[in-house]
Amino acid sequence: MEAAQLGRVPFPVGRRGRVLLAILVAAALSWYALGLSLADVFVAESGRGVLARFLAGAVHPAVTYEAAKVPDGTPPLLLQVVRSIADTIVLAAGGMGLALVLGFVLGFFGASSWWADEGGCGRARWGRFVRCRVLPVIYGAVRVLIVLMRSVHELLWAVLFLAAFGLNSFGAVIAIAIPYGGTLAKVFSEMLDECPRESARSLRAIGARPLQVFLFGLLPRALGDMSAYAFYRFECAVRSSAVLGFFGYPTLGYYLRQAADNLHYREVWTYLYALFLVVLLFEAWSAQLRRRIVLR
Amino acid sequence: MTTTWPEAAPDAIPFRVEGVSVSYGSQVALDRVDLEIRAGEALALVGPSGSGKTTTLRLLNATVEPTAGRVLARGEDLALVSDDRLRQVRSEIGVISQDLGLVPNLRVLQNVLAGRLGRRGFFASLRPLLFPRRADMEEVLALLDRLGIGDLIFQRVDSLSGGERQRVAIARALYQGAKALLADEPFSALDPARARETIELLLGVARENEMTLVLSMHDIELAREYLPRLVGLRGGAVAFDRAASEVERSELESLYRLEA
Repeated sequence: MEAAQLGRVPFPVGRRGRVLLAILVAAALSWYALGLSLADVFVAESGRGVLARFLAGAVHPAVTYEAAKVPDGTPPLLLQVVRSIADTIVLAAGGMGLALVLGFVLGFFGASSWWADEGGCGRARWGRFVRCRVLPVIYGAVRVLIVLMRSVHELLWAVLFLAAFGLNSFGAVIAIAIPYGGTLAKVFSEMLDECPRESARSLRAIGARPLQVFLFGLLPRALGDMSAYAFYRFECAVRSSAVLGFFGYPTLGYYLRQAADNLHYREVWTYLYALFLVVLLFEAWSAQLRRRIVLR
Repeated sequence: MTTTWPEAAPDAIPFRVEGVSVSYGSQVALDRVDLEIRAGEALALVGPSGSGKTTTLRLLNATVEPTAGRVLARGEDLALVSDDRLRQVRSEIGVISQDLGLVPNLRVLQNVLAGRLGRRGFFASLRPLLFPRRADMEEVLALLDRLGIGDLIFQRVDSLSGGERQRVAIARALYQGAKALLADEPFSALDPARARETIELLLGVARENEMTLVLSMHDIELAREYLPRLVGLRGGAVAFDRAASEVERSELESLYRLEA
């Protein structure tokens, strides 16, 4: 290249950088539109006492009930906390298990690398029909379905199923399973489509069929990332499950809300710390798992 | 040293490339190439990067389709056979690609067993890979032992060295029961001593199992030393095609001379 051609230096922030910049600009504009100002940070006179008491609770979380009298047969607070955590995890696991099945099946049909890489439509009439008509249609439909499942938040699904099934754990389980299944399907399909293709190509070159290519050439390469991601989503599901308690399901959120409604902030903190501890444990566990299965 | 080659290898696959051109978009990779490969023969495609060696190899198992001309394996035009027949043909052709194409996070055993995927239906292929029978494992072990890597059978491929992976790829082709072996630059990642070892191994294996062997390689000296026939490619066309002993040094030099 001639030195004279060096006139225009490409700006070092490319398209990806511009996306991040655009988000910051959008944030600035929306703050303006919402009329947010620094004055809002200062809590109104009336709220200060509440806030102070709430924050004070952080230092002294409750170990026994704050109320002077509790109904007979109420288990001790700490036992209640442990039970609520257990119920939260059970609900999360129930929803997550179903989500995993949905995510795997939809992720398979929402991925294209196992059939689109075959090259052309094939020569047999039946194969042509399947590969160039049926599979692309299923693929498109599944992608749309995945978006629909994800676009409604689990809390909204919970409200819907609460109305439909009443306060039944099944409603809570599918409220988690649907959006989580959608998210898993989206990410699984992308992992399957983005994993290195050379194993798949070589199996195809020695006569393997599309499903065999998927099972032995693509899936093993994506499986590590897929399981690490699923585990991370499990941790998210535990938090969702806790929050579902606000609607009356017997998870951590139910007791947390009761305590908050009764202005027992020290009990609120006990539940918050318990949730924090659980998430922390999951985090440590998933980090260890990730080291073992992905980064080896 | 010139390897003596059996004249008759009735099971091995003969190939014929007739006036084949291949273009990727506007880029011409091969330009009217003719090539006759006899059953059981061994030959090396030599030439600089971008001369069309890989494309030529990939034509032979129809993983690249000709833009013009035709490619025949055992006399069958690969562009005309049915999908099932093409899979059958491919299941008889072993491939050792530059990246080897192994599945790094599966064990050696599974990688070798995968050699027969093309011969089995989907469900029939599940069992041997997930729950291999003792007989299958013994067969794989015997192959690996012959290649000197028997004790690696339960290792994951991503924990192996380059040379060991190469042997796994060879074992896969053997288990496949390949009647032809296409190897793309199989020595480029190996040091000279190991490259020699591997080329001898490949030649031995091909001869023993009556395979047609087509190699592509950079190292012409190595090719000249070991292979009976050299096909020189330059700019997507055949520059020469004759017995290695008759290839002139000047021809080899002109093959690699940079264009002005």
